[in-house]
Amino acid sequence: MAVDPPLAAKSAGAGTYVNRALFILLIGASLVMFSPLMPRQDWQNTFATYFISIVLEAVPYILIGSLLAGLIELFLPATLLPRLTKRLGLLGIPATALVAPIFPACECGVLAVARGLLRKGLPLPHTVTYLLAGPIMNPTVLFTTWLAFQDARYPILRALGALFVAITVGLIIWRVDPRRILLPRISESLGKGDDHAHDHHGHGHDHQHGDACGDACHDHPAPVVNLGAALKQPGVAVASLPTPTPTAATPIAARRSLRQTMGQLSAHVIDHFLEMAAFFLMGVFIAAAMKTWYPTENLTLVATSVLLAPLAMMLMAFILSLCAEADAFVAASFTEFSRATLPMASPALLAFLVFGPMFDIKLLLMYRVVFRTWFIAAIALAMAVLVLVYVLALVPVLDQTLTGMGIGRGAL
Amino acid sequence: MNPARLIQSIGWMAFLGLMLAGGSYAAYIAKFQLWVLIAATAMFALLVLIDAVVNRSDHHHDHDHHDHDHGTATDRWVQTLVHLLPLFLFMTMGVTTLGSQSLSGITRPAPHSVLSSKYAQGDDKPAPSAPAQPAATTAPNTVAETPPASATPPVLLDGPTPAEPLATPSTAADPATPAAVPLPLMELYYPKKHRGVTRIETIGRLMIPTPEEIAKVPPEMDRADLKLLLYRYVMTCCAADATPVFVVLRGREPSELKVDDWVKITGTWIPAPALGDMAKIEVDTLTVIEQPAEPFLQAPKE
Repeated sequence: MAVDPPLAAKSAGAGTYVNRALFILLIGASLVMFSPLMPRQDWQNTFATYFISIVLEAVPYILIGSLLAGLIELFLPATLLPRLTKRLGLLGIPATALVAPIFPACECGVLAVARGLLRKGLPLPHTVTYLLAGPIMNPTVLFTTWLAFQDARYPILRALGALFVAITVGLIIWRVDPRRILLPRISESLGKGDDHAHDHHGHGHDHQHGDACGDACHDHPAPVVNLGAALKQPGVAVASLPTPTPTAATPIAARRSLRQTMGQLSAHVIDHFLEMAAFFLMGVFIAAAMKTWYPTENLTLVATSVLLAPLAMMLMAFILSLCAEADAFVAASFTEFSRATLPMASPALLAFLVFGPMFDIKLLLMYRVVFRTWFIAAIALAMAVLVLVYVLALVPVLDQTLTGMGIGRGAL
Repeated sequence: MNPARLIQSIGWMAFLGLMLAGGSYAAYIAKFQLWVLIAATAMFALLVLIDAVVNRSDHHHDHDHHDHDHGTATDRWVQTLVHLLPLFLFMTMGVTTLGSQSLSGITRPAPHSVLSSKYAQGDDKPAPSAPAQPAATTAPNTVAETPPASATPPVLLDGPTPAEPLATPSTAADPATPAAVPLPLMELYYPKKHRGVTRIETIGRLMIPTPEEIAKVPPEMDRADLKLLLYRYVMTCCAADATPVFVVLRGREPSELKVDDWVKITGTWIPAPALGDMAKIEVDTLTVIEQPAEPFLQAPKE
C-alpha cells in the first residue's frame, strides 16, 4: 500500500505524535493489566465489564452515525446547507439547534454526523451547535429523561439547557477563524473545496481507475461552495460567501451506478467508524479505569452546596461517560441531590443531564479527531460555566414558570 | 481495502459476532439493545463485504479518501492493535460481571428508578407498613382480598437453572406452608404487585457489610440486621449504568459464607417497612450456584 508522502509528512505534527504515544500507552497498559500470566483479580472483572459494556452499547450508535454521515456525504445536495445558512444569517445557529432532531444521533454518533454536515458546507459555528445540542434534542433521550424522573420539568429544562449552551457556544465562535479550531487535515480537506475530497490531481496517491472506468464513471463534482476561501477569511462563515451556480456535476449521485454508490458509501462508513472508534476506545478505557478506581460517591458529599453540587455532578458526568439515553436513570438515582432541593427541579441533576452528553471522557478523545486541543479545552470550560449559569440563574425562574403552568411531576 | 483496515474491520466483526453468537451480550447490555446490536453488526459486515468486493475491483482505496488521517504505516498498525482491544479483553477475561468491588456502600436499598417508579403495575411505592415478623408466623395483611400464594402466577426467575439442585425446602412436607414463588430480587420492593406472596425464591450475590459501610447508612434505615446482604445489579442500558438492589438476609451467619458467591435463596419475604428501608428475607435454604447467564436484572420499562 502506497502512502502519500506529502500527506504523511503533513499529518506527522505534534498532535499525531501525541496520539501515537497515547495509543502505544493504551496498548501497553492493556497488555500489562490483562496479561494471561497474571492471576485473576476482582478489579479486572470490574474493568472489563465496564469497558465491554460501554463499547457494546455505543458501537451500534457510532455505526449508525457513520452511516448517516455517509448518506449525507453522498446524497445531501451540496448547495442546500450553505444556501439555507446564508439566508438565515445569525439566526441559523438557533435554527440548527432546533432542527437537530431531524438528524437524531446520540452523543457517540453525533460527531460522525456533524463531520458529514461540515463537509456539506454547514458553517463551523452551526456544526458545533448541532454537535452539542443534537444528543440532548434527540426525542428518545428526552423521553427517557421523563421516564426516569416521571416529572415533565426535567426533559423540558434539559432541552432548554442544551439549547442555551449550544447556541451560546455557537455564537461565541461565530467570528473565530475555523482554521484555528479544526485540525489542519480537516481544514485542508475542506479547503480543497472538492466535495469528493480525493484530489486526483493534487496529491498523487495510488488511486487507480479500472481500464473500463475512467473519469466518466467516477464523478468529480465541481466545487459548489468555496470552502477553502471561507477558511481563509476569519470571521466569515461559509454561508456568507456567494454561492456559485451549481454545475452539471452537482447532482452527485445522479451519474453513479448503484455499485459505485454502494462502494463509496461503504468506504465512507468504514473510514468514519474506524477512525473514530480508535479514539473512542481510548476514551472508554480511561472511563472504565475511572469507574473502577475512582469512588464517585465522594462527590455526593457536596450535595447541599449550591455552587459545588452542580460542579460535582458535571465532573461525575464527565467521569461516568454514560449514554445520553441512560444517564437520566443514573441521575435519578442520586437522591442526595434531589432531596436537597425538593420541590424544585434539582440544579445539580440538571447540570449532570446537560453537561454529560456534551462532554465526557470518551467524547474528549473523540473530539480530538476533529478539533484542536486548545479548542476542546476552551469549549469544555465555556460549557461548564454556561451550564452553571443556566442551572443557578435560569432554572429557578423556568422551574417556577413550568410549575405555574401545571407542568411537573406526573404531568406531561 | 488495505490490510490494516481489513484487520481492524475483521477484529470488530469477530468481537461483535462472538458477543452475539455466544449470547454474552446479555452480561453487558440491556435486552432491548439486542436488535440494535444485531442490525449494526449485520450492516457493518455487509459494508465490509461490499467495500472488499466493489472497491477492490473498481479502484484501490488506499488514498486519503476524505479528511481521515490514515497517517503513517506505523500509525495504522498501532491503531489496528487498539481496534483489537475489545476482542483481546473478551478473549482474555471471558464473560465478566460486577461484584462487590463496585458497590459504593449501602446508602440506599435500591435504585431510585426502581423504588419510586410507576412501572410495576400500579405499585409506585412499597407498602407503607409491612409486618416485620418471623417467617413462620408472617401473614400478609392483604391475604383476605388476594388469592393465596400458590395461585399467584409465578414470575419467571431470570438466569439459568442453578448448577446445584436447590435443597428441598424444609417446609415442603408441610401443606400449610405456601410454596416459594420465584421472584427477581428487584421485585421484593413491590409488595403490592405480589400480594399474598410470602415465601419466595430469588437469586443474587452475597455481601457482608463492613462496620465502616454500616456507619454510613442513613439514619432512616434500620441497621439492626445489616450483617448479611443479598445484592444484584439492575441495568438500564448497559452495565456501566448499573446500580445495586439489596435485601437483608436473616437466619444465616456471615462467617459461614463467602462474599460475592452467587446464591439461590428460599425463604420468607418481609417487605420494606418504609421507602428507603430494606426488604428482608428470613432464609430457609441457601444454595451456592454458578453465575447466571444474565447476571444483571433489567430495569423496568413502561
